[in-house]
Amino acid sequence: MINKEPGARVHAADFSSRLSMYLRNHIADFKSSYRGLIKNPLSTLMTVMVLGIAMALPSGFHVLLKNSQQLTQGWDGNAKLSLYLYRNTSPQSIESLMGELRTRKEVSDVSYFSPEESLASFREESGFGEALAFLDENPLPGVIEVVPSSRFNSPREAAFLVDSLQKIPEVEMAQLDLEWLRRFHAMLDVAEQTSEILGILFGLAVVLIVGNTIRLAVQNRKEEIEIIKLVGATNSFIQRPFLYTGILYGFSAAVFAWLVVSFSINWIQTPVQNLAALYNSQYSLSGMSVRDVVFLCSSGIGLGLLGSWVSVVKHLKEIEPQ
Amino acid sequence: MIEFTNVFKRYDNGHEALKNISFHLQQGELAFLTGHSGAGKSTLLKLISMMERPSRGHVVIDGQNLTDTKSRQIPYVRRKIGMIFQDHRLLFERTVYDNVALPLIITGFPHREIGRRVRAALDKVGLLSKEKLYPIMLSGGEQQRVGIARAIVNKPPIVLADEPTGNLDPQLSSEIFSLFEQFNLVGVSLLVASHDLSLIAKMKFRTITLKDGTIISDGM
Repeated sequence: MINKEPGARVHAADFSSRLSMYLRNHIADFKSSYRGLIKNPLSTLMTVMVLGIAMALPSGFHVLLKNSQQLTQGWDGNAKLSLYLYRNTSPQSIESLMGELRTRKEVSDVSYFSPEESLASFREESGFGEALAFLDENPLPGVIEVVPSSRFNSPREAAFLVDSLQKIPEVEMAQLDLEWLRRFHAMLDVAEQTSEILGILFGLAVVLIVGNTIRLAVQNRKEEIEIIKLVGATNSFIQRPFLYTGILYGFSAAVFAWLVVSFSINWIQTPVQNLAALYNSQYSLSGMSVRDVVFLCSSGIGLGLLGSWVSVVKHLKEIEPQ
Repeated sequence: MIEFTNVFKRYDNGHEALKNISFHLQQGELAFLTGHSGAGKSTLLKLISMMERPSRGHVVIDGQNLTDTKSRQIPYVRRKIGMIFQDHRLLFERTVYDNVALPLIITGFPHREIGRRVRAALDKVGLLSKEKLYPIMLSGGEQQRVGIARAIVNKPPIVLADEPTGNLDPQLSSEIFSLFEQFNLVGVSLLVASHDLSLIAKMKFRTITLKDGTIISDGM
């Protein structure tokens, strides 16, 4: 026999070359995932649109909610309290009550409207002026209008103030003019919780849709995966292109969702401004902030990665070379 | 290099594919594995490449007992083994070059080294000029040689071949067998399953014959 060499060995690559190849492979996997997606533009586009719409719904809801909150911010500062006094209150006690109120830290300003002033302004503004002529006497009480200081003008704080002012003996009734604002805030709270639930549900939908898409991709490439396993590829090597596909789906869907929301906001902008103009307001809708967009894109990437990871780990196990 | 000790393989359907198989293939040895189809040749090769696990007994590859080897370790065992299949098992969406490079890519070889080794392997099987083609453009014999180049590109200590000449004419078959002989000369251990008895007889190497899952003869 011919003299043989000591025998071949597995030639392992050293660490630094493995690291550089690792990065190179990641880039190559990313590119091949991208190419795989644009190779079937129609089905990719449809998947991205489904995912994008699923992400646009909670995002759009969030934007509308944010706009509603902004709308009320302008009103919060205008919270005023009206103290309706007993009709027999003497001018001296009104004077001393006003002095006392001015010293409170919750109060920034007080002003008094006598029954006559109230009647005059009612006659002017209500349009029922002539009806007043039939009344024997002025039915209106004296009113002290209280403007809360800035720390106490939120609906909640103002409500506490109302309770404490109600206890003043001369005051027949204390009323917060913006009582409805509290109710509106409570409704916004409900809407905010709803928006969170929507976000979670649609996020779950994105995970499931990506998972299913990746499952099909894995099954389509069953034979290829078997061969790659036979030459000694680890599962993490085989997973990588699928994970990048999931990331690309999630990111594209987020961008699509952003476009959908921006387009929709633009679309309803004009009618909203017309509506606001009828209320003498310059109000206009604001779109998604940079923070919102960054959050949307990172959620998209995260959800896409999660969906593809769950799916690929499960389905790769089922594929073993025969 | 490959050591079987009292190995049994019974499939879930009750079929007993291998019964009490024991043999030892030394480092740098070339052996043929023959027998009728269904005698257990493929099962035996699958136990080495860990596509199947033995029901009883031990298989030791390059000093590593496969019975104790966890699933996670399987890829690392397979990197020591170059596998050649009757149906080639090439990736049809990738070029000849990329097919051959696959075992190097998965182990993280440097880029330049990959090019050098792939071309050396393709040169060895006489397909250097076809590296940019896709497998579908090649003849059956050429496809098989791509499969062989892929099996040896990372210089594994063991090469397994399952009916490598099954679909080839005698001329091509003998070319492929002489390639195996060349690999053997550089110290690779080869186990070649084949029922091409006339060709095996000409080669004068150790031949293990299986019948109904047992070894009925083992020698030159």
